[in-house]
Amino acid sequence: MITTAVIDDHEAIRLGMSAALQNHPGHQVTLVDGAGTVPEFLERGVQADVVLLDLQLDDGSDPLDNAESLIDAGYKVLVYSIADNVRLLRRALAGGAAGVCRKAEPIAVTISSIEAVAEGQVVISQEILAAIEGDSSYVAANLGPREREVLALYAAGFEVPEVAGRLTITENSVKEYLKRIRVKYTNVNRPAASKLDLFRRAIEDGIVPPVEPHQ
Amino acid sequence: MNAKPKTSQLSAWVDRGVALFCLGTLIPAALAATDQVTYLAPWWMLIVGGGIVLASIGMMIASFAGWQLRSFALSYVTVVTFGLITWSAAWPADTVATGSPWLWMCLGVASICLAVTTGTGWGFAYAIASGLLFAAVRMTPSGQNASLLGAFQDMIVLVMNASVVIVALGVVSNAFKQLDDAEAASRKEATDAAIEEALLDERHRLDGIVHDEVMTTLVSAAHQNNDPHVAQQAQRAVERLAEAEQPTEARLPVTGDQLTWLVTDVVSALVPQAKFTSQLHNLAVPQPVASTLGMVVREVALNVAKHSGAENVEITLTSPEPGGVAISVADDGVGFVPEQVPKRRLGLQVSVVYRMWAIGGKAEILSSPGRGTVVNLSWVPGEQPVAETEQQPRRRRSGRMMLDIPDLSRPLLARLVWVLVGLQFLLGWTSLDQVTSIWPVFLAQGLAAVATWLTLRHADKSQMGFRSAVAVTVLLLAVTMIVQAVLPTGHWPGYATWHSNVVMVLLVAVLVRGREHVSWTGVGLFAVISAIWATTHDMGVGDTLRAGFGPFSWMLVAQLLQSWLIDMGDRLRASRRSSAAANKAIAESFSKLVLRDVWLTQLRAQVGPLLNRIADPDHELTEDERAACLAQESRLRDAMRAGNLVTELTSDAIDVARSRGVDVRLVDSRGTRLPEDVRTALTRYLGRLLTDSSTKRVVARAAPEGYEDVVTVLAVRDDGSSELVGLDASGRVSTR
Repeated sequence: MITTAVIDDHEAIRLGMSAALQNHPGHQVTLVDGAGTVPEFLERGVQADVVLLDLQLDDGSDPLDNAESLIDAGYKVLVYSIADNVRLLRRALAGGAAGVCRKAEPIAVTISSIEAVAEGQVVISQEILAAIEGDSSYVAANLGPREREVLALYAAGFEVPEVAGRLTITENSVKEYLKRIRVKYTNVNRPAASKLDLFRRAIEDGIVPPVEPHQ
Repeated sequence: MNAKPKTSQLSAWVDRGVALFCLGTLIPAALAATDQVTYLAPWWMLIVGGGIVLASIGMMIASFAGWQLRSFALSYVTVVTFGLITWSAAWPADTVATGSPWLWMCLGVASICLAVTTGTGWGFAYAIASGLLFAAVRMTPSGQNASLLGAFQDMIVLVMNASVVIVALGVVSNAFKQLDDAEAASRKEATDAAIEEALLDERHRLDGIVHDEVMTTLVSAAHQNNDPHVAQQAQRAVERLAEAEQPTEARLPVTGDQLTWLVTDVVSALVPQAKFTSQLHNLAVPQPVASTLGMVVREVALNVAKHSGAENVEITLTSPEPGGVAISVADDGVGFVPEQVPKRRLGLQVSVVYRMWAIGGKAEILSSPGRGTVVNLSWVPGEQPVAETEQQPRRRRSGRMMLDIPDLSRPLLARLVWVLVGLQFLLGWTSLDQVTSIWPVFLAQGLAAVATWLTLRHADKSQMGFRSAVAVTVLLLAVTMIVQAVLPTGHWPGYATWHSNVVMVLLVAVLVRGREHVSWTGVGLFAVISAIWATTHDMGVGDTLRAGFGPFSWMLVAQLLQSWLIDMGDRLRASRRSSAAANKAIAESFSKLVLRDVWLTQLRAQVGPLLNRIADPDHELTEDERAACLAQESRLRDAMRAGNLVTELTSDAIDVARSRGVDVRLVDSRGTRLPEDVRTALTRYLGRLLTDSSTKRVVARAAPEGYEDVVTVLAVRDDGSSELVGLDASGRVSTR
């Protein structure tokens, strides 16, 4: 039995999750609570193994703070988002979120992610590693050449066995590399709001190609 | 539009100054001429005297009416030159003149006229040529039978005076030109920055709506069975979009730069290989016209992208007539026969021709198979222009306004001061026969040289030291007294009074270098000392004034010029401030237009119908509609997360591929805009890959900056084989 809760400012999403879990039998996940903000959720002191955390909440809170305060309160955090804004995703990872799951994905994928996180695993996905890869100053300062190679291939879209095949190492060592990169990222407690970050932020938040003078 | 100080404004002032100078010269010239008029032939007085007066008045009128000064200035020069050449002929052969020909005053003015209208080089050349000619005339009886030395002295003074004024005009005009250029550049930067800032704001607003309302609705609807909450959520999304679409009150005209931006933005999203040339300046079109032009250009670009298969696409924006816009889109694609396009395919007809007609514009489509297509769009303001189009510069000046003085920097000015002082020394040496003792002259010149050196020391700093200024003044007064001690009594000693020009030049330099009080005190003391000398040496009133007040009047001119420059600077700053505010308002208004008429129109066309069906509580979504929800969500997600990697056409291809079950993922680890070559190459490569039926999975990723490959594309086929290609910064594709 795994208990989970959704923190999302859209009621439709919270209700949708509950309906989806009911309509999809054969799993151990139960939705026990839903809230619009992290403080609101923490106040209730609900028992839950995994908290699904939306990246953009109505109160404008920072995913890093949200993830940290949830983890401090003993929850495991799985990011549950729509468009995976890279900047916000990086902040959530730095705050210790164990993985990311897209709302548009089939419910089965969400369930298996919840189960994995509940067991204490970190979820490895291309999404997460591409977000880490995009933080170039982190990569340059903290990763060794082999780690960078693995990261680049994985972020380019190769699956673990393909990465292993290309680098002639075992699949397990590829997984180890990826996990290490992932955990290191949280331990270094990345995204400081550097000037470059602020500049990128504007572009990352854009919906259409970045605004630049057309010259 | 905002008031911008322009070179044309400055040149109007220079024109007026020159005209005033011509007119002003008439007064001393007339005084000098009173003694000579009786001797001069009437025909000469009629032609030359009358011509000079007429040309001077003409210049004055022209300069204030905004006409070209050129023809009047050239007639002035011609008349004066003619007068100088024929002077001896007009003078009675048996009489020796008692003074220098009065015409000399007009010679300097003529050089200045020539410099202003035809170029500095001509001005200098004329000064030298007329100086030589004048020296020759001076040696004839009609020119007072001057000695070679005297004629030579006159020539030097003539050339020198003209040169000083020409150079001063050059400095002023050059400074203003630079200021104008800098101003124009910073204005453009400010406009761009303001637009970008305002656009980012708008985009964040739209992003918020898309993310929080639209995408959330689509995901919820895809996963849930007709939950009333989802319908409510959809209703809210529709409302939020409608809210964003509300027209705002401020509908300021769109500037040329903004229109260029709009067209570039719209087209490059569809046709990344397009090249743009824009000559839209000083233009303001009403917003409805700008937004129609944007939509029409979008339609044309869509046609190019879908049907032409063109390699090269060129977009040209020009303004063939005042206030009008012409946009031409030329491609080298397959082309078509316009008459054979079925009437039912209204595409270009309605969306291009009709829309242009509706705003009072014209569209022309030229195409033939194999020859590419050219679409010409044009719009001119009607009888009642909705927006005040900016006043066109009255007339393009054909004259070269002092452009041939490249850069009158401080070192050059410092050298000029040395040259001027040196020339005075020369005049002093040529007048050594006038003085009672020679060595004090050389002592005075030594001291004057020290004063010059002190004045120009550290000329790179704008203000000179107080002590140096005082020292210069003291030295100059000492020079004055030494020179005066050896001057003769009873008659004007000619150029032996070289020192007064040195005092003038150096005190003006002290003034310009920021020591006004010191230099004015110096000039006052000089006037007093000179007046005392003149009265104690039996000089007439005229000579007393001449000795004491020459430097004084030049100082006055310099002071006025300086205040004028400072005043212009203030006005410039004020106009800069007001144009910054105007900029901001225009940028905000423009970005709202872009949001409303470009982005929102696209978004509404894309998701509007689907949202309305979700919002309808009585409508039960079909399986297909649920799938469409997810497809639309993916598309919006691609645009939001990896807009860098896709154009609208690629998105269409991705939709189709995804519906076939192909797993397409776009990842942007770069964040900043891709080079155009890469975008073009990527669009082509993805297009091929997505239509290949053996493709099973595609991952396109923009690598972080600093990677050798700007973009990598991984393709996995249904037989399990995979291929990774990289696109380098020039768009070259190679297998990794």
